[in-house]
Amino acid sequence: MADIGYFVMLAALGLSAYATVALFLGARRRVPELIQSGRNALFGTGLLIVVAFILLEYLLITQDFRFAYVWRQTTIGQPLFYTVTGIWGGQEGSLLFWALLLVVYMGAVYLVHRDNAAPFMPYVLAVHAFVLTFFLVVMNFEAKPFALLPVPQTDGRGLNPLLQHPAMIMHPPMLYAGFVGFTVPFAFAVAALLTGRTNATWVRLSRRWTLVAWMFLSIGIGLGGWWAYNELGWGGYWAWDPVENASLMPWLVGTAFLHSVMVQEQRGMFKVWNMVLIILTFVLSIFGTFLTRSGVLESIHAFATGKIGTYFLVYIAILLLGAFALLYQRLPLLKSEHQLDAKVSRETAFLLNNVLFLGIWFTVFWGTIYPIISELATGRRIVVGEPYFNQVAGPLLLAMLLLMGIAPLLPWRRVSMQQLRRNLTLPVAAALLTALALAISGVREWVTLVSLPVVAFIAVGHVQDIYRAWRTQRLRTGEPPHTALFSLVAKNRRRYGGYIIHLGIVLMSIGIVGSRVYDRSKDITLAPGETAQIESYRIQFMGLDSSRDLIKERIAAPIHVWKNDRFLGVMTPAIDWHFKVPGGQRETEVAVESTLIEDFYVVLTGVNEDGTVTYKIFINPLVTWVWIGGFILLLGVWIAMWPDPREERILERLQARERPALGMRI
Amino acid sequence: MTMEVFIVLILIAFLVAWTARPLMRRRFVSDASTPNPQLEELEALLFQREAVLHALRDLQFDRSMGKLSEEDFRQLDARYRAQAAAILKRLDELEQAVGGPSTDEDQALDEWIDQAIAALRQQRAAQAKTCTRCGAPLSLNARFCAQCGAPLGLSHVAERTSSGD
Repeated sequence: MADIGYFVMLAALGLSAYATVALFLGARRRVPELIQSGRNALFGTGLLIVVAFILLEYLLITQDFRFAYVWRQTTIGQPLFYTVTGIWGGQEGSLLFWALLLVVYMGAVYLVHRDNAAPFMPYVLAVHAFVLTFFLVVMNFEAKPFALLPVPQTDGRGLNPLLQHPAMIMHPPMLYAGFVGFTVPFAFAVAALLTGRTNATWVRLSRRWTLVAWMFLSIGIGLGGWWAYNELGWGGYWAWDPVENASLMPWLVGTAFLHSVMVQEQRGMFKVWNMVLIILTFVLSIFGTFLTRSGVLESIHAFATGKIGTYFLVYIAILLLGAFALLYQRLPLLKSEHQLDAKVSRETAFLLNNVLFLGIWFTVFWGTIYPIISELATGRRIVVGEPYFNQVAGPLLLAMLLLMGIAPLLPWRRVSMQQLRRNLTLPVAAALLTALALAISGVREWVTLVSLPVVAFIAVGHVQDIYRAWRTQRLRTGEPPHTALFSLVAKNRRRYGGYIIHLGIVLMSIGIVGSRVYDRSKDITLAPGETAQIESYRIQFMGLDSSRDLIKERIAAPIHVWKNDRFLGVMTPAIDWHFKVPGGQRETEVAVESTLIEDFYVVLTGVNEDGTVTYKIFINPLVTWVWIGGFILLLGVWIAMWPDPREERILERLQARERPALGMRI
Repeated sequence: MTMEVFIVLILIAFLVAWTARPLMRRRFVSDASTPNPQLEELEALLFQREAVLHALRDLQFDRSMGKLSEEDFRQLDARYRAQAAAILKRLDELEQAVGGPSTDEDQALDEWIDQAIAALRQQRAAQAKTCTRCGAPLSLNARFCAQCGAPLGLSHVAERTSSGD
């Protein structure tokens, strides 16, 4: 079995390296045979990666403890579900999973675009081959998925119990599908530069792929937060942890890219910006994988012992140098087709949007790598805590929100102050009223006093804009109200999809402000049968309840909960002791009662010798709105992603006319 | 060597052969056909035409929503119509040169733009209209007043605009 794995990985590396060279050379010299050969080699690589993945999965399921990866990821008694999904729980397997996802994207891109993007295709595939080659180099020489243990074992160590949670199982695939997905727009960007076809075509072709990647990354980040909230038991969902930041960084720059490309499509401007943004987004995806997988975050020493980090840094350097050298060389092709018509317009808002997103990204980036740099420079690791991020990124995020409220009210090209005032009246009034209402009701926290009015401003501005467009549509076409709304959205899915995403962000902002500014917590120790009052909640400890299975011991301390004397039910916070983990591992099982107003969040922190137990109880207002906002954001992405028949028609028309003359179908 | 290893080695050999096959098929010659600059321009023009049409529709919509002042609208509208005319002229020339099959839809769209430009000239000569009920300025192809909702005379241009969406 080890031989098979070895041969498969080595052959995959050989084929993908060959495919990279053949596709680049073939496209450059226009040799169709070479391009086809490269394509075949690349598909061969894909097939071998699928085989390798199935093989590793087979070894995991059969629990073949001769293999190091199997030994680390599973143990006898571990539920099958977590054994199967444990394949992406460790370094080697997740690299293989990364490669597998890239193969899936590659196949889909090939099927969708072989006809309508024929001139780009050889280069697009070449970039995919180049990325695959890197991962295969790492898996062949450093992080070998099929490495054997020096001595075969009879039982494994098993997947970290903390990761054995449904959200945590789906979190890496979503995150990786996001990271990997940014390869597609990056490949189209490189192809546009190499072919010199730098108009908006590459943007149109890759737009939906960017949205797919962005959606997966958003889901991944959301699941990560949800897991942290429900599993880690510290009462929050986001801590500016470096691993979280690793996924947030490509999201931030990718979001800037998604906004910025609209300007290229509509106005033929910002071409250089868009190239820079997509290069950065892709490199940050690789960087994110590096941060989470190299061990550099724990300490420089962990990084130095695992050499995988060096591979990543070298590859990132090659990518950055190569991409920016190519961009520099092609700068003359990226001249703007228009100038900014006025100082205030939607274009300038988009420009500011790019600047702000990059500013937030840099803040996060600096805070994430600062501990590493400080350790390199002084030998001491200086960790940048939450206050840094809240104080530096916070105001930038607030400025971003403000811009999000104003920008959609601006027309393209130019704005007249009189019209702008007319559009701003209602949102500004809403913001002022909100601020006044908050002040009167005794709110003194400046974060709330500033952010909630901004949120009201955005919400009212967007709803007003949708309402006015809807009214105009009705008057212009005479359609009945619901048809008018439908055709309005259908006519401009991207705009209204974007608006819905913005409204999702509004709800999330409300949840974030509520839960971060107004969360309370209290430690309570109770004897069996004893009750305690926490604000409007009353709890009664029902007595301990222990159980044991093959891998863990559980001590549960169930409580009865009443709110305002109404019985809510039984909550069962618990502590699990995973005795199979070397040295044992303690894990808390959080119990949460959620409502739209607040979450009642109970963590069992201690079981004492006198028979009493200690709980840490959090009351987290409005958390549910963070998750609801996330779902609305997803709905918006779906609307924005839905194919636009008009765009399809142009591409089809072109394809019918130009295929014989413009590059070959491969 | 076990059976499984044997199967995998055969698979790998097959993939290598599959990779080599295109290279065997013919002489190793560079594709003589050079990129056709006319077709590349055609592509660019098709997208530009779409962008200009989009811009024109946006302008009308933005004005009727009250985002754009009348004066700005007139200026920008005239500029984009001029651009549209230039693009269409160049497209006509190119399509004749390339001889590609022009679809019915293409022609319909072109006709619509020609009509729209003609209508614009006519209307401009007859000065801008205002609503008879409330006196608000009206877009050239409005069927209803955007301010008070009063119905106005129909124009075929307006019908094409909405069905074109």
